[in-house]
Amino acid sequence: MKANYVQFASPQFRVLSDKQLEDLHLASLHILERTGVSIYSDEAVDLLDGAGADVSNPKRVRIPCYVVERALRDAPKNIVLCTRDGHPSLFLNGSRTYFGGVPDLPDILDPYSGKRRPHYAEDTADMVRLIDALPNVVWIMNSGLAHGVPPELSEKVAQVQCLLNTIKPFVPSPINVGGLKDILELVQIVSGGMENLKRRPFLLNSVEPSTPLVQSREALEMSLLCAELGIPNIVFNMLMAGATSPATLAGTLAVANAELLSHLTIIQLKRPGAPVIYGGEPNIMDMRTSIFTYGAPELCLLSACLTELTHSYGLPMFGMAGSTDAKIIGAQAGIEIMHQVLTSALSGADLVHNIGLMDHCTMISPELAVLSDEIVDMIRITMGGLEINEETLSLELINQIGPGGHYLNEEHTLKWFRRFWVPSVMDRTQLTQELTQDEVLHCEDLLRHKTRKILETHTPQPLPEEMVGEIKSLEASWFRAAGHNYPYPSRPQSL
Amino acid sequence: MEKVIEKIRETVIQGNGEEMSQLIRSALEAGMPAGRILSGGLIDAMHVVGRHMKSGEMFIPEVLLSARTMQKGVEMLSPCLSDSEPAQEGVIVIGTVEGDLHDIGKNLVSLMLQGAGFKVIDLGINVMPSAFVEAVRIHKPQVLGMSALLTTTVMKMKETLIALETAGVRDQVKVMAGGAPVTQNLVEDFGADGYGSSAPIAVDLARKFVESPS
Repeated sequence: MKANYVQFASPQFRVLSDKQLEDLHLASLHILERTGVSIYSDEAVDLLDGAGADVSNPKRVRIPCYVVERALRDAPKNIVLCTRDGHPSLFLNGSRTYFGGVPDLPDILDPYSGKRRPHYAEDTADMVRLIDALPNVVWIMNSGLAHGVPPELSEKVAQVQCLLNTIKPFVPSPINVGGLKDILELVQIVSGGMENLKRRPFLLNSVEPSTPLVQSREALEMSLLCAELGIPNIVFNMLMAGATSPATLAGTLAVANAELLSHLTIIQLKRPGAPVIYGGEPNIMDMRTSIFTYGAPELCLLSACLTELTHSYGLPMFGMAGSTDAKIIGAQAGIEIMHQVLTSALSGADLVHNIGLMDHCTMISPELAVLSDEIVDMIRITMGGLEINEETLSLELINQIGPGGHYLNEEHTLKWFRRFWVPSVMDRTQLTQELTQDEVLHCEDLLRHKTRKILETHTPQPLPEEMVGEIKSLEASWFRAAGHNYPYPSRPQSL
Repeated sequence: MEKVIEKIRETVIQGNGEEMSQLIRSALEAGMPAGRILSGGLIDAMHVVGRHMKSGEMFIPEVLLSARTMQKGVEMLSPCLSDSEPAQEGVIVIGTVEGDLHDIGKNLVSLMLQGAGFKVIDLGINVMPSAFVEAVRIHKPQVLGMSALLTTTVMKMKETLIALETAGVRDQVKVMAGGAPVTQNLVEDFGADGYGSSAPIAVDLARKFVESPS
């Protein structure tokens, strides 16, 4: 019998105190009241006007804090996403971390040639199928653009491949409300109508404010439509300290949060209770190369801080992990990804995207996705904490074995060793006369084999043929409406 | 005289505006030609800064400090330059294309072009093809720069090039494009003249276009 006993089920991690979070929140409110945000949608301006904001200059709409606070109260604190076949799958309420894919990359690191090349629609199909097989990557984005397809159709073509190749929930990235409507038409073929989609959503939209402090017409129109329809919507931003936000990290967070709060407010004014996932990638600009650097430790720190701020609002956090600035799979990729995965898990971000991203967001790698899956699997051990009780302390056994004995033959060992983590792509072999340094399979070799094996053998749950037919017809109609030939060119065999 | 020019160059590289101003003042008073100070002290300094930036020895905020310092120097020298000694390397019109609100890359390129001695007419964001054409007519730049971040707005670059053709001004200007979705292939597809894959490369391209317009 224990009394007043507290057991940590996971490591306890905090960057910011409650007071610091309050300071950030107040700073963002101050920005919204004093500096304002540019709002490029008449409907959004009208909504803010009706709520009491100063809209005399739409380029500097000033929002009083009580309007924002009301929006925070209205925003739902629990969002459930389903698989394509309607089973609840992701519970976004601050209690779990889910790692997922990445969108819109122009190139792919070919898992067969090892070379960089343009990304085709077939590569989206392959990446999505790969992630479908990975146990630790549980939702998807479109992976990359469809090379050879006209730009205005590229993202939609990728969405078709997402829908066909996994049952995991997915996040499209349409660039305007027309694109969003097309995607919604597409997914309703599978859900059987909008009502079913709302009851068991397997897709979320995503929009981005334009930093600093600008809400574009395209982003707002999509958010307003999502609010109206009740479709879950991710609002996330990307900031570069020293370039699009202050070079001081706290200032960057204050700007990030002000943008997100204003966008959330508009959504809640349109429809109180509209589901929103909140977050982004506050970061630095690399001041030698000018890139948005995915490997920056600052990005990990800022993500953790934004997660804490988002959770202090009771909202689910859209974070990032699984990305590298490296162009090959090696030490740099491993370091950067581990850092991101660990801090995302420790801070408890809910929906964590970017698995597979390389070279500052220009290339995707199937092998990197497999490596990231392994890394997430590994840190489950760290994140699982330690259970201390009579059985786990095993004092009777320790006494029985005594000084100088061993545990190898014990029933206890047979029972408990299965909880030790076993890697699938990390090399732990012992070299022998037969197995030398040159012959042993290193991590990179194991990764290559595992990736190819999944690509060659994994079959995702298919959709019924009539549905596939309807989807292809819809896709064809998009091409015809835009005056282009269909089907689009295939990925060349020679690659 | 070389020593003074060298010292002025150093102050620009260090971003030391006060010392540069003093040195320029005394050099002018001593009768040194303003054009010589401009080319040897200021323009050459920015060439060095550009090299340091490419090699990673100088960081962007330091590069921009040097650029601001250099421009202060140009302002001081302008009244003393003769007609045959222009204060600027060339004129560039730059903007983010229609439908796109992103401009940090464009702003960085713009600042560095100014630092390299160009007069930059920045049209801002969401610039229609017709606005680019109008700007080319009015300002008669040697170079036009277009920027985009979104994959769909990249198509507006092609539209702008077509608009320049239709207006009969395409051959009056060299066009370069840059931004996250822009690639060498796209640039060739569109019929632009150059791909500014990074800010220093955009500056090099602009210099090349001005020096050899064919």
